[in-house]
Amino acid sequence: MQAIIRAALQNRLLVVVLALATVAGGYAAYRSLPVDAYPDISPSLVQVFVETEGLAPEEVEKYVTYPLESAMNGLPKLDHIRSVSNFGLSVVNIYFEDGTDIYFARQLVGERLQAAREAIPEGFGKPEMGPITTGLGQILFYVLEDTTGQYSGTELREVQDWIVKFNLQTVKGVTEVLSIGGHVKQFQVRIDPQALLRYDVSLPQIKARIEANNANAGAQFIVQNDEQYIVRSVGLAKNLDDLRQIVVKSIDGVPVYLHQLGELTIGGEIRRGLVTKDAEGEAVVGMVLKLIGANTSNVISAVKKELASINANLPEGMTVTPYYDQAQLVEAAVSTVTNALLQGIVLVALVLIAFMGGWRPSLVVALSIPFSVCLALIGMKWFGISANLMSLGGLAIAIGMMVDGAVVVVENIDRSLHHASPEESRLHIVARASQAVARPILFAISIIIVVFLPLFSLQGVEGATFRPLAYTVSLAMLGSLIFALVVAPVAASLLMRRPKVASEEDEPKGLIGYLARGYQPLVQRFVNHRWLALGCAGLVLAVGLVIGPRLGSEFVPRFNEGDLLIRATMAPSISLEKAKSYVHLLEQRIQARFPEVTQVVTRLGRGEVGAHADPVNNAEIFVALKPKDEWQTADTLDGLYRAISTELEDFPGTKFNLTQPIAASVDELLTGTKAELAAKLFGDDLTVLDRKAGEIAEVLRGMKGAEGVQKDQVGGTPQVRIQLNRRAIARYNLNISDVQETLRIAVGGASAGQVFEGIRRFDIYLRLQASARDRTEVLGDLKIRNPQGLEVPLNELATIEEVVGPRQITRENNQRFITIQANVLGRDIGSFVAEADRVIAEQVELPPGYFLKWGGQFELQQQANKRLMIVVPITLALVFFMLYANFGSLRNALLIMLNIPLALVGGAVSLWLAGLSLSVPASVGFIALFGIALENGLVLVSYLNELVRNGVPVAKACVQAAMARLRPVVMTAVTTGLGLMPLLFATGTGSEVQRPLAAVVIGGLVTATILTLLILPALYPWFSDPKNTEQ
Amino acid sequence: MKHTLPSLSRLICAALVMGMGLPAFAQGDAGHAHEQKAQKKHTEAHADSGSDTKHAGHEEHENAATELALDELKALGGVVAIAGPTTLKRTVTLPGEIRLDKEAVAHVSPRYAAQIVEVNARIGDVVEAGDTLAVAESSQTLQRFELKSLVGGTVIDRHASLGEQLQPSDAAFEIADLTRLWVDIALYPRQIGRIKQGQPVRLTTAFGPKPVTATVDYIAPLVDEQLRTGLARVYLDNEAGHWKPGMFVEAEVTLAESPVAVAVPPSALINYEGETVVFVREGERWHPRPVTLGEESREQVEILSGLEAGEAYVSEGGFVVKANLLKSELEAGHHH
Repeated sequence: MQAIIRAALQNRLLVVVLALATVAGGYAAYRSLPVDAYPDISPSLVQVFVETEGLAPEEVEKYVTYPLESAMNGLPKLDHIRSVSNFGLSVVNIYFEDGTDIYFARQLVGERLQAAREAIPEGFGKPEMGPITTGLGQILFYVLEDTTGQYSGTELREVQDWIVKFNLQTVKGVTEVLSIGGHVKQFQVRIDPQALLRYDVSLPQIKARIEANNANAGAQFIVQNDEQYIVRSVGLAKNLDDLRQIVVKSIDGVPVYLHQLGELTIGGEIRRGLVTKDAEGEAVVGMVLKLIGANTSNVISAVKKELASINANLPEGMTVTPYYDQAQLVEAAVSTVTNALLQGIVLVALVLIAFMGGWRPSLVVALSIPFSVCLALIGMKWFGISANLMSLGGLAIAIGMMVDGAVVVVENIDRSLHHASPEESRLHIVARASQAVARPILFAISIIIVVFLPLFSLQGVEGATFRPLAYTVSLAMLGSLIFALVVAPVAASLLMRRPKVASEEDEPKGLIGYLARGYQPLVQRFVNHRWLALGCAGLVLAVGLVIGPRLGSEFVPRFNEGDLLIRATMAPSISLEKAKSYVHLLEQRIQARFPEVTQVVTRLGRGEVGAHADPVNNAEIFVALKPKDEWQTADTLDGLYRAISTELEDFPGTKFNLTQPIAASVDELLTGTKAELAAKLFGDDLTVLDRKAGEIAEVLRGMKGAEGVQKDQVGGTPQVRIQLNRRAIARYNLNISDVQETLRIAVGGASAGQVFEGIRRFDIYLRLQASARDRTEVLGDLKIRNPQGLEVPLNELATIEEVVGPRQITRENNQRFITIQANVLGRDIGSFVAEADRVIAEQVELPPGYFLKWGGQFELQQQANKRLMIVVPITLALVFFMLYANFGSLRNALLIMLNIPLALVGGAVSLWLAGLSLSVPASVGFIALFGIALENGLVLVSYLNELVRNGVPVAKACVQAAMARLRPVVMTAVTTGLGLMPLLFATGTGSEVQRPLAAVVIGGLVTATILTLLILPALYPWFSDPKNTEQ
Repeated sequence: MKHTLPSLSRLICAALVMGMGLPAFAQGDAGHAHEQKAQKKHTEAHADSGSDTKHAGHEEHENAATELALDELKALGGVVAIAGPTTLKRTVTLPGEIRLDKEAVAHVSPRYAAQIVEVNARIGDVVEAGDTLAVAESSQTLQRFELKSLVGGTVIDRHASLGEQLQPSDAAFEIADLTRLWVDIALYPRQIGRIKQGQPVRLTTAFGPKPVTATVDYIAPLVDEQLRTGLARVYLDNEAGHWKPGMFVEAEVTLAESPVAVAVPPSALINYEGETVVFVREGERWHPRPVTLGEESREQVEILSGLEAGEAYVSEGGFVVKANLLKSELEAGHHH
């Protein structure tokens, strides 16, 4: 240590250059850091989507989901697999262990996908991996509008798919653009069933004829006159007319054209979702997804630039306008913390000048801030941490602590310069003063870094949220350590002057002088009356014991995104068209009742596969709001939430859930359940599952503390079940597949090739005309042609009935399950679960193979708590060991550890005073407190030891040391506290997350400082090491 | 969702003793506090009086009812109607084909083997009985004789060409009376017993003449051995000549027509909790009334029980009421 300081002072130029290089590097790192609003808390997840046209959930599960799941089993680093089989869509979520590289995971999945493809029967869809993005990846939504009213939904969608999307996909950092709304253009062939009878043709024949009459081909080349001509035959259908002229059959030389069999038109693809806007009807919308790790702000600005140039090239009257983007959010969140950071720096600088009583030492100390921050920024770049609310928040928290090391060094140098004999060289004084405090500083800062270690051990959401903070705090503290030991002595030697007149007396000046004069009698009294000190400590603890249990609790305070998302759930069997009329009414109502709403865009169901798997009864209503000061209904977001909830409460047939865009998409990727507690009932038979889950829900409802118990809706989707009669089918000399093939084409429709328009390609879609397939009754009239040429109606071959089937089938780790959600109020979840287990075992009889598992937020918290229960004691033991190593005394170490409980009390009290709840950020605040509280005690006790070792009587030493260390202790406390003040009072976006942390640290600092200054000296005699006194 | 958390105080004690401890990560997420608020029940179980006695068999639904303002129902496409009597027409649509009336086809043949020396009639000519269609010369006697039509009708085929040698067994002309045609309707096994002589039939064709109404005049006694289909026949009056043999028609046969006391359109029938119900207005509320169905046609379904004439019910868009009912049940924590 001494060597380091000496070496630094000997190579002052080198140190200055390196320090400047660090600052420059930090600035460069800051410019290139990805900027996000929030740390990405999405799990390591690879999603696999399979679209299977027209298949019911049971079939999707059987033919698609199951083979996919089994292919993915046993992947390295696999955590678990969860799947949802919906109507026509299978989504398999493959969760990997935390921290697994996403490209590695995708590669693994990609390899297995090959096997899965073979296991999925032909024609049941192809598995595709979802976009390489995260829950925070939906960075920009735009709407393609037609200002003239002359374009159809099909035309708008065509422009969206082939112009807007096409160009946006080339923007760097954009991984995918998903379209939704309008109609995907299709060349539709709608067959009249009577025509089939009239011309004696079948649907499969027509399909084959269309396919056979729509192709280009190459035929190598021929050589003419030494020249080579490529032979190319052009037979592609270019438009509807070409299709109309396809000859399906020829009877005695008379051709039967396709147009004689039905109607050929351009129409829209079957869709499972749409978008409406401002109660004005349908719109076409695009969702821009960001590539993992790309810089949100940069991508958004690039996308916006591209959109501007696309706008210039759109057909007359069409415009693209973004209606949601994360740029503002990112900017707001980052500016909230950077403001806090800057204000903190100013406050800290003011404190320094006030306490140091001179600009030179203050400047030396203040230089520690840019140096530490820049070092942290370089570290962030190195570790790949984006600049966001939490990581920058970590810097803001550390502002006050960053100067502590430098304060101690500079203060000591300053004091030494005042006292030193004029003969001693300045450099020598600096070296001596620095070396004197080097050791306690090293330990104190190391301890702060060590106490943040538990945060690194957090997993999942809390881990992803708070790890960036732990990183930046640790890095900044490391920076401040380097500064204090290496840069500060050099800077001091260059900048600080010895006073013109060496002052003899130890009388502190300035602000600290007043403090000292008030402090001395107080500390004297405490030292004299140890029991008074003890009583005070006891009183503080008692206050803590009273306040502690009164604190409310929450997980993480809600982060205000500034936009509102209303999730509406309608009856599971609703049709898209009906849902649209509901949504229309809803939009009208929201716009009419809430003047602060500027725009409403509703996504109903799902668009292109990749981001959402919502069925058509789910709507996500995006509500854009005016700036907060223009609100009329309510002043706060919570107030607005309440007002909207109340307004929508009696809306017919629809349930609502208010959330925010990012929160919603992250929730979707996480556990799947938003309740605290989720009982998952596993088993095979959906009916049994449903019934038993109902029973369990009933049991839970009866329990004390249960609130909002809800069972998943699994049923409720009506099906038309066509039960084929094997004997009848055999009698008519048919195969089951003949019937199914006809049914599939006639009712569901089938693609019969494509029409190319340049590079744009559109499906040719063959189907019966609507009137022949749109009701259960008419399905029975469908004719199936047998080899004898008889057209047999379907109801001769099958029983057609309407039944109610599953809405979706959810599976986890290869087993079906359904969830019963609940929140627990007024009691501890652990005991609730234990009691529930017992009561369920008594009252609900589960068939063999059925079992219950508990999960939900509860699961995550338990994991976090369990981890902390191990890591926190280890950390404290480590801290204790470090203290012991420093002092070589068990007693001293214990005395310093005493700081912790008193600091905790202060934190709890200030939380209570601020009306905040005990939350994860508050817990992080407590962790930070440990470090800060220990640091002060450490500095004081080491000086005490030094005095005692030098032969000063213990009682006198106590007062003397306390007086001597008053300045650094108060300064470090005040700088830390004031550094956090801006965070406590910030109101901007994201401030709600940092506020509890700031409150805890500031409150804790007050008690910890009082303790260090008054109680610690008083108790020292009991804890002083006899070894020291002997010397 | 907030609740007090004793762990902090416990931990403070623990910290005192052990010098360790950390406030437990608290549970709950304020973001979802609103969900429950929004789920306050606003429609709930409701014991209703009045018409309960008449469907006592369906206790399960007795309590279920939901409130939904008429204008809201209408805004979402609901239509309310008053139950009343109607006439039910049960029909079945079958493919048919226009054929020649085989009983009204006549051939004209030479009496002797002869050579055609003069031809007067062409295919498509309308001829009267006794008209001379051709003149032939006997191969043996060389005497000329006339080939005369025995019936009036349209010449639909002619084998007599000038100079052609014809035997007495050869048909020189085919004359058909096109004023009456056959419509042959194929009957699938299911229909064979249901289609009876005398039932009204409405005949329509895609591009041909206007639809006409006739009756089933004949049911074939045999079933086709190859196709296993039966045959019903309509004798179609074709004085105007619009119908042509070979045309394809759709035959809508009316199986029965009967007056019923209460009938509703099929759109009024809603599948709710595994039962067929009609939503009936009682006071301010809509009740899902399980109904027993009787005869049905494409447009109407007879209600045997569950709905009385004069009651207001949702004839279209009953789904809206059902959705509201499901919502209330979910919120009331009521499951089935």
